[in-house]
Order: sequence, then C-alpha cells, then structure tokens
Amino acid sequence: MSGEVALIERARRFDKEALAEVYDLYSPGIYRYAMRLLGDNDLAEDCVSETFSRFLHGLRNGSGPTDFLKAYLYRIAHNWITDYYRRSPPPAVPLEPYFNLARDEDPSYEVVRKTEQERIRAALALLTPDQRQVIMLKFLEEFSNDDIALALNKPVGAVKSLQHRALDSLRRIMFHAEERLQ
Amino acid sequence: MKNQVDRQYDQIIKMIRKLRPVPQRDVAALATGRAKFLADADLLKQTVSITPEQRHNGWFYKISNQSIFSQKERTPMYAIFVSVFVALALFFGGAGATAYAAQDSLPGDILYPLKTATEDLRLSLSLDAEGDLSLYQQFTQQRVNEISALASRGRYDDITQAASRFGSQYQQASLIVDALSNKDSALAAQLSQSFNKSMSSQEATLNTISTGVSDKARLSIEKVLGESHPWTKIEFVGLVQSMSTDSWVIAGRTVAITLSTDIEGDILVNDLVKVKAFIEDDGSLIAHEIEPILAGEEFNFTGVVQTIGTDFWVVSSQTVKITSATKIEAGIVVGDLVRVQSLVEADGSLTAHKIGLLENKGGNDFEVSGIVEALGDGFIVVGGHEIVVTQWTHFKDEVKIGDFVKVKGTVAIDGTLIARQVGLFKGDEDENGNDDSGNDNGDDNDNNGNDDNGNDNSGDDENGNDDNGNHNGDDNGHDDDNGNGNNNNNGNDNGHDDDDENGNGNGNGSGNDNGHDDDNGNGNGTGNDNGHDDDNGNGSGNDNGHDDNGNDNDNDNGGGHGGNDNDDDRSSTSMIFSSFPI
Repeated sequence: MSGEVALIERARRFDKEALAEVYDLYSPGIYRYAMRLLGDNDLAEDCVSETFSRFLHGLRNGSGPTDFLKAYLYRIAHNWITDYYRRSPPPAVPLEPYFNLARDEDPSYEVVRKTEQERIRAALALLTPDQRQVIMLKFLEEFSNDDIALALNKPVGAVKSLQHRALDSLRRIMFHAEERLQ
Repeated sequence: MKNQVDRQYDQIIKMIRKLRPVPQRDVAALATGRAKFLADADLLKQTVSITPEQRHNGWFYKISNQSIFSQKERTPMYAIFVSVFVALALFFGGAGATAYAAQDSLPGDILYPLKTATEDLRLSLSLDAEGDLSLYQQFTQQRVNEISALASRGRYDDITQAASRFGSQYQQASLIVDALSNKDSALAAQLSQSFNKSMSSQEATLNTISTGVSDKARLSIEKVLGESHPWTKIEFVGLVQSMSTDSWVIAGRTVAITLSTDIEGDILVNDLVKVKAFIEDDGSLIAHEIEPILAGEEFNFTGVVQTIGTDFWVVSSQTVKITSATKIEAGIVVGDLVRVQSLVEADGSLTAHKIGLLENKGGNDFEVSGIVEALGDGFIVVGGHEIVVTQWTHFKDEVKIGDFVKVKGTVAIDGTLIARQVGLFKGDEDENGNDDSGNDNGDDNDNNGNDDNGNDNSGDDENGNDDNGNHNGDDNGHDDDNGNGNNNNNGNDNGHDDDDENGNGNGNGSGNDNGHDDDNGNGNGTGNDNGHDDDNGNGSGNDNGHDDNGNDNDNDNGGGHGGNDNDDDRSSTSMIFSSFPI
C-alpha cells in the first residue's frame, strides 16, 4: 500500500491521470461497499460521488491522505453511510427468522434473498458505526486487521475488540429474533 | 468441537456474506461519475493553483484550518438542496418507508414501537369520534392479525402485548360506540354496527387462536375477551337495594365491589344506578363501574336476546318494555346480539325505543351485478344502487366506471348496502345462476378481514408451498391445497347445484374427474382447487367449478389421482385469483 505515496503525491497536484487512476482503482470497491450496506443503487452512486468529492476537497485543503488511500476512501464512504443512517432511520424490519430462509440453489428465491439481505442490513444498522465498519471490512471486503485499523484510525487491538463486540451484538439481534420464533 | 456461540458466530458471518453479491454497476453511471469527478478536479485545480503551498503541517495548520472559510458551512443553495433531498427521502423512502415497513412488524420486533406510535399519531390526527372509531376498528383488527401471526410462529410470549393493546383499544372504541349511540345519526349507527360486527368476528378469531397457544398466551387472550366479549359483560340499570363493603344488591342482583370498582358520586340505598359488571364463570357479577342515572335518561346497552315477548323482551337478563313506539329491526331472533336504546323509568325499569340488530347468522347479505356508474371515496354506484365501500371492502379487480361488476356485501340496519367484495363480473361465473344458492358460508369468513388481501400470507410455509401471498378471502379453511403453491382456491363452486350444464368448457383435460359425476369437460384453467378437497391439483384441466351434478367441483388433478375426486365442497365461493410465483 505504501507504494501509493507517489500516486497520492501526483493526485495532490491534481494530475488528471493520477486522479483517473485513483477513481478507476477504488470507485468499484467503494460502490460495492455502499451497495452492500445500503442496498440501493442510487444511494450507492451518491456515496461514491460524495466520497470522491470529499477526497478532492481533502487534497485541496491538504487534509487528504498521505498514504493508505484505500483505507482513507473506505473511511470517508463509511462516514457518508453513517451520516445517511443518521438522517433516516435504519432500513428495514427484521421480522422473519434470520436463518434458513433463502434456499440458495433455487433461483426463484431471489425475492426472498432480497428480503433477507434487507434484514441483514437492518441488523447491521443497529450496530455502532465502528462496529459496522469492522464487520463490513472484515467479512465482506476481506480487509486484514491492519488495514481495518488504518481505515478506522484505531489500534489493531481496538479493531479486534470491536469485531468481537459487533459479532456479539449481531448474535443477540439475530438469535434473539430466532429464539422468539421457537 | 465448537461451542454453540461459535457456531452462531459462524452462522452470522455466513449470513453477512450473503450481502456480498452486488449487481453489476451501471456502466453509464460509472462513466458519468468518473467524468464528474474529473471535472470537479479540474475546477478545484484552478483554485488550488493559486493557493499558496501549504507550509504548516502540524498544530498551526490545524488551527488555521479551523477558520471560518473552511468550516463545514454550506451555501444557501446547498441548504435548499439538502432540505429538498431530505424531504424527498422522507417522502419516498427514509422515515416514511420505515414507518410503512413497520406496519408489518409484530410485538417484540424492533420496529413494533414505531407501528404503535404511528397508530397513536393517526388517532391524534383524527378529527372526530367517527374517525377514531374507524381507526380503532382497523387497529383492533391489526392486533388480531398480529396475534394470529405470532401464534403461527410460536411466539406466544409476545401475544400478551398484542392482546393487552387489543383490550385497551377495544375499550376506547367501546366508549366511542357508547357516545355515538346517543347521537343517533345514520352514520353513527352504521359505524357502531360495523364496529360491533367486526368485534364479534375478531373475538371469534381470537377464541379460535387461543385454543392453540401457550397457557400464558391463552390467559392473556381470554382476559381481553372477558373485557370485551358481550357475553361476559353486562350493563344494567336498577335501584340500589342494599350496600355492604364488598357487595351491593342492585335490582335484585348481587354485584361484588372490588378495589377496582369505579363508583361515581355518593350513592345511597334506593338510588337509581347504572352498573357495568363482568360475569364470572360461576355466574356471579363483579362490578366494574357504578354511576348514578336519573329517570328519563337514556340507557343504551348491548346484549343477547333471550326472550321475545309481545310487550317485553329480555336482553342479557334485563327486561325492557316494548311499546307501539318501539322501533325493532326486522328479523331479530333469540340469540342475536342487539343494541338496545331505552329510557330509564323512575322505578328503574326500562322502556325500549329502539332495538337494532348487531349480529345475526344469516340472511342479510346482498349481491348486485351491474355497470359501475360512479365511483368515489367511500362509495360505488352499481346498477343504480349506491353501495358503501369501506376499508374492509375487498377489491378483487381494479374497477372503473363502465365496468360490469359483481358486488357482494351486507345490508346494514338502515338499509345501507355495504360492499364486502367487488370484482369484475366474470361471464361464466354466474351462468348457472346458482352460484349463491344458500350455502354462502364462505363469505362470512371473508368479512372478518383476516383473509382478505394478504394478511394471511405472512410466510407460514409449513406445508411448503401453500400460500404464496394469494390466500384469498374465501376459503373456508378446510382445504388442503397442497398444490403447487400458487393456485388458490377458486371458488365458483356452486355448492349444490344440480343442473346439468354440460360442456360449457373447453374440455381439455386430462383431468376430468372420474369420480362419480357427470361433468363433461369443463376444464378450463389450471390448477385450481376448490373447496375442501384434497386433491393435489397440479394439473391443468380442472373443471372450474361449474360442474354439474352433485356437488362436485373440484379439480381432479390433471393426471394424478383421478379417482378420488372428493366432492365435498360446500365452500361455495367465487373468487378467482391468479397467482404469481415469487
């Protein structure tokens, strides 16, 4: 990652090629990240657009990244999503059991799967922003703990404990719903 | 070996990974986004070039960066944009959508408090008692639906919450009904009647549910039923004959006085009072409320007709005098639930001036077919008849002026026609004219709102394939349709019609029932199972109900079990719903 210093340095001078490279390199990942958390294409596009806009402003103000561009961008995206959650309440209703609903092999369960995803998002929305980010980066974006620590600006130990607390919260959210059904 | 918590963590992680699949990003959007990003960069570059090079990186930079120019202050235009955006978000999604989504939540769910808050908000926005009552009617039905959903999911512990909310909403509604009954307007009468009628069916539903849940849940349901059920509650008027600390004798009846008995004013022996009491299992009465009443005041109560005499009736153990001036709705028989409006005499006796039917078991349904002449908020005019459309009215099809439709419903006390079901007239549906010959028991169920549109489909998938959301209306609960999912009881079966209409179909089928009937090829349609039968209609070629002799109806499943067409149908309904696979 530290090989990005040069790229960032060029971006800081608003070198068009460098900026295009940054966009091409990271916007697909940011889009996927936003899409997974928000489940809405337009919102995800907004998130990408705003993330990169803040990145530009950061560069101009000198507050932008000096290294670890990826972690930086995911952090901005995550903050945008957190703000979005604050502006509007969490997305959906955990109503049905969390588990064993979609039969993955059957294409006709697409709708069920969608609902299921909505419910997972709803559960994630109940976590603290940091917990949510750890879970997302760890299990969906496959970040290493070190990279997550960079994205969160926290020590690795804190990341581990956040991860543990997040999983525990999710266990209570999801299995509590589950137990009630039995 | 992993412990349970670890296994749960594994499951959660697996679950989270289900978010991984993301649809392909729209190429055009990507291109636009990229172009905009680079254009922004160009714009910023121009300003950046005149910005002196950043010289301070440490604390000084941080402090200088706090200047008013770089604070997160937005331009006015931006503020407007944001508020418009937020307004749109609220309108199309956001809080509105969440509140909407919350409407499907159940007690114990995270969003359920939002649902109850929404209800309270709607009540506070309602402008009059009529509006309140109609909302309460809707909300108590919601509670019943919730209890039903909770019961089917085995979430018995959460039933208590719904039951208690049901109880309090019912009581609020009862107060309004009481108040409205004094207003004596046609609308008030209709609303009260509609409320009482829906209450009866809601109670019946709750009673049924209560037999299949945990003891605690059953108790909670029984408790609210006890508070609301007209058969376990009594209101009467009489002179106080004696008083002790724990019981009074009023009009010859002993009522227990408890700490929770609400006694208004200073009541003495020989005073005329109005009593609301609960009837205990052993027949004893526990006073809930006692208040003074004056001779000449009106006393209205709901009860069950026990005796019909020429100059007196007994309603829920209370004798009311009948005079030539008493207006009595036609068709009331012993056992019916009625609303009595009466005048209190000085001796505590009652003289009825109006007795209205709240619930009876048959007879006053109507059915109208014709052209839609007008269609408005709360009404539809069909073939010259103005018919009231309520929130319970089930529209089978989208209907517009000029359509030929069939409306089924109930005739209210005052003769108002209240639509229960409106649908496009299906030419073949009625050809035999016998459609409704008397065995309309299916329709009654329809009215309690449980089956109509969709409340029922919340995922109880126990038998695998049933109800994919189309559980419609009229099936009377006996069918086993183990078909493939989407076929829904398509009524039409004319219960017992005897005519031999043969050959009105397109006989395609492999599936003629070779049971005992004669029908020749009526099959059209696919996969309909009607009524009570067990056949697993996955075939095509089912006769759609028009058949013939005897009672048969059903469907012999194309191909399958030809021989056992069990003509059982007494279900007699006429709903046709197409299905949509999900």
